[in-house]
Amino acid sequence: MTGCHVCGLVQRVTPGQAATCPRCEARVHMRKPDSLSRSWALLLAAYVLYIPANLLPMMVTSTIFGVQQDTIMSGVVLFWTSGSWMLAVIVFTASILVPLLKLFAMTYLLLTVGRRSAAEPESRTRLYRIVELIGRWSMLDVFVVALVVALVQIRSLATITAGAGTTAFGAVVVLTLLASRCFDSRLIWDHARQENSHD
Amino acid sequence: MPISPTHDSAAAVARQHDEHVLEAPPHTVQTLVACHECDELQYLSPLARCEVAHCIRCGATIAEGERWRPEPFAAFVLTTLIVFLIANAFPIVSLQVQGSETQTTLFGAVYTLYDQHQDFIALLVLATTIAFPMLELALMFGVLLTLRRFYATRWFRLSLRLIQAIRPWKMIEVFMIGVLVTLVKLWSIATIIPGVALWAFALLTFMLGGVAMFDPAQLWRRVPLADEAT
Repeated sequence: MTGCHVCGLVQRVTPGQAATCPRCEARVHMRKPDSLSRSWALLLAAYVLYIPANLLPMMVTSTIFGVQQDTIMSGVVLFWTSGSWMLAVIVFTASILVPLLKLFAMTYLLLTVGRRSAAEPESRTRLYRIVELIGRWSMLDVFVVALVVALVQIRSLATITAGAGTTAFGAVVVLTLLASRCFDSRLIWDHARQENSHD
Repeated sequence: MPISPTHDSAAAVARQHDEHVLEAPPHTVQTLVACHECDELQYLSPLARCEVAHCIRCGATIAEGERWRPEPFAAFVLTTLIVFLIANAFPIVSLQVQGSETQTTLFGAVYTLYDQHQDFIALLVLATTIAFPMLELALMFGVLLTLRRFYATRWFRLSLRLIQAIRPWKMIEVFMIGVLVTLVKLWSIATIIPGVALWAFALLTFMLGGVAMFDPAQLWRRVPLADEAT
């Protein structure tokens, strides 16, 4: 017996057999298909892209004095040195801390589920909930770039264009969001349950 | 309702419970639910307005009592849709530097990115701030409007599924904070004049929060099961 992941209807499902929910017509699985390998694939891709996302410029400012390239970190430093500490903290949290936290948290979850760990299922479920909750906030920097680029087009004075870093960064956000979608938190509890039934 | 100082809470709970049973249709008195996070099977009694049920094992929220009735909610969704259109039709901010002025709408920002060959980012911003929120609001309004007649049709089921699939991908509230960060960023180099859309977006952030409080499970309960034979 399991609940349909779309409409929640509880129904009898034969493991490993495709079934269709009689209420919403979605395909019903006991667990999300290939949850671990799909999550791993997306997560590894996110790790790889995390490097150019931080090294390549997010914004390229061209003025009569020359060209300046800004990465995520240099943007944070600029806020910090110019006195906007609040914003430095917000941008640092959303663009650097949250993506890193998500990558590490997902790695930890995938490793423990892969090892069939039965330890602390509750706190791991809580960790997964946090990952789901904060994931979207790393899009913040992408929106800031989009707006700044559209606004600062002052002919002859300064133009700002989006750098290649934005594409990498946006891809990291999408990939980590997809990775946490593909992960099935019920797997955490499957092993916990087996452990308990052996006792 | 006056509350007496010798208010007996157990009796109040019992009375409340009786009311539930009287109000609820017979087949929904207790339903079997599986927690979507840990798959624990458990029985669920009907919930009162704004009541929330948590999984007995992992503590996830498994069901919510009705927060909205469909009719007032349909009106609210329509209002949100109108605010959404206003937010997109007008410039968010204008920037003045030495006599020259630039301004942008949300779509203008998307177009600038596209113009600079940042296709992926342009698409991402378009989807998360314009396409998905609008699609969700439009579908939700359509579903609520046709609730009485078409709840048994395929269209209804597909719309409801689409609404749920889109939900995690709309990011208006993140965008709103992005606007604020941008304003502070540009504060020192130029004069900034807030546009109509800035206020509309601020309002929209809260209204979409209200829309998100509507639990689609409430509509799924009305959808009949397909014939087992077909």
